[in-house]
Amino acid sequence: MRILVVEDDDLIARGIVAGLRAHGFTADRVSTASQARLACEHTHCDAMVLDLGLPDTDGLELLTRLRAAGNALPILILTARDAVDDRIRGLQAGADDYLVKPFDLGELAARLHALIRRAAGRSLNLFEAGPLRFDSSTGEAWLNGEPVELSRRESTLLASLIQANGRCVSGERLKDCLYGMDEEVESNALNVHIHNLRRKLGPDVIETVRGLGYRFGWVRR
Amino acid sequence: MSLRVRLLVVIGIALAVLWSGAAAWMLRDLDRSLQTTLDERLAMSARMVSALLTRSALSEAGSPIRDRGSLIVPGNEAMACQVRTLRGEIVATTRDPARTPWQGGDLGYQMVWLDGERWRTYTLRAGNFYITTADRLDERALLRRRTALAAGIPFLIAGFGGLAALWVGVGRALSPLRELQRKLGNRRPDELEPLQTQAVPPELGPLVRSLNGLLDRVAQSIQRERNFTNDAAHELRTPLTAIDTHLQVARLTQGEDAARALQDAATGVARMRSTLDQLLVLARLEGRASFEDGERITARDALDRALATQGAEFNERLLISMQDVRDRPLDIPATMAVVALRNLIDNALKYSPMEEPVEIEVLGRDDVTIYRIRDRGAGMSDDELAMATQRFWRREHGMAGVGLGLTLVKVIVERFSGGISLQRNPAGGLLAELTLRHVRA
Repeated sequence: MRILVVEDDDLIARGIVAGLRAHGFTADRVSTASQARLACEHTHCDAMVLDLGLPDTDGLELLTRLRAAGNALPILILTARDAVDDRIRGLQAGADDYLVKPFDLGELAARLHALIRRAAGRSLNLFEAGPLRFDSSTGEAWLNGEPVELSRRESTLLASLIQANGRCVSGERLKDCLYGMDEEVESNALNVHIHNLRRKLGPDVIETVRGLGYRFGWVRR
Repeated sequence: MSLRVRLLVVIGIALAVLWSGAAAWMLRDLDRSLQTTLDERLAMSARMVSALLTRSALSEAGSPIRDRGSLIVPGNEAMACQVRTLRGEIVATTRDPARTPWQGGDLGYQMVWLDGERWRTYTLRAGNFYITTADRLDERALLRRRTALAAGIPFLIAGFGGLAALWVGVGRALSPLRELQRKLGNRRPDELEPLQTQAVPPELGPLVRSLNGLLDRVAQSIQRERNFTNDAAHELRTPLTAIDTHLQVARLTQGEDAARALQDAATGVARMRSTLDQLLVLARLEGRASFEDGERITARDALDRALATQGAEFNERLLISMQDVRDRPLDIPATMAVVALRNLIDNALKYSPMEEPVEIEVLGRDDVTIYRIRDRGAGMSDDELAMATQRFWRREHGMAGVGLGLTLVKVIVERFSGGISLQRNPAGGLLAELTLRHVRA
């Protein structure tokens, strides 16, 4: 799952991105509101971590504009502004959650999982379908009750497909979920991960929709 | 002593003195008139008796005592009248002839002692007789006391009544002050709204306006302090967040990632230390702490020390020129001169392209040394120049620093009678001119 981190402070941004990656997310960082708008328009992300003190536009204004444009992306405000009024303003402007710096990376990851889960209409991280049980917060998977070892990319890929709720997901979007903007992606990388998932969980865990993309195969219809 | 009691005492004493003086003067005048009236009554009575004697045949007789004896007229013990012959034989008297030994031929008013009592007498000669009329003086004193009492009691009543009325009146007149005291006393510490001025008497208007001015200044001061605290907390929280986050990442990762996270945490620590140093210097400067450490520094040494704190990578960018630099020390503690210079040079290096030079010109004058620091960066607009020395103001978010560098320079030159001016460099970028005084010869 890909998180867009909008943070102007280089040092803090590096820490957030590294921490989210350590928690299994794909994280990209932009430092201005205009870069954040561009990223939202041209790439896929599952949630945004937004700092309020941005150099070009205040984070609240960016939030208001995104919501006004109909963007329903889950957004978590991460800021040093800790006054109750600030929190109220942030949530009223359309934020889904609010966290004050300094923060615990585990808590940030858990909140992001919750936001993404809720956006998909689920209330639990644990997903069960057919012989598969999958915990999107830890990336752990069980097949017929037996644990299956998945790499970070594989669990991210599986989570992204489950997150789509049976809809078809394009290859490009899956690549956005798996790789950050600063990472080089080999042309067959996505196919390799899909092949590995099918090998570990069974060939029908992912359906290929010719010309459109891929779909989770065990979704309850 | 309360204002009410003080007013009562002051006005009461003034009234008592004035009224007592007036009463004393009036009583003295009344007493004089009374004595004169009583004396005239004595004289008039004597003349009346004289006139009666003159008309009667008694005045031509030789010795009426021999014919008829002394005539005794019963009368008041405090008043007396006596008619006697020139030889002293008493013809008529209001007292027992044995107790009326007025003798002699002294005419007019006299004071005499008789039976242990003082008398005021008036003696008149009418033909062959002396006529003496007399008042006992203790009776006159009694009359005087009664008169004084009759005249004094209204004064006393008016005096005490006036004081009571004054007590009540002052109390009522001071009620707006008590109301003001109550309102201020009931206020919460953070309640700094101005007091209402409509219902206040005109005399209290200036006081209430002054209080409102004070409340306004206190509110502004608290707001400034609050902003400063918020900004300081924010600026400290930012490096703290960086340190905390990178330490967590270091725990979550291994190898190169963990090492990078620890390095970033160390960068955060350095940034926090720098922020704290700047805040502490600012607090000491604004708290009027003493910097009299005795160390003074010359203009050249101050620049050398400020340059020594810059990284070696910046040396090639610095173009330094000196003109008439004096050896007389600067009139500012060495650490403060170095901080001011270092901050200006830091800014010039930080906000100009790496490939552009920063010029430092040092000009010596008799009384001052002027440091001109020119960079070729983006410079500042007029609005930005106006805000540049405000606390925590930064031209761009995300740049290193907390926005206290120029604030510190400003506070330092204000504290040590120097000067700082920021203007656009004609060749592009910013020109900062720092003026520091020399120690007087």
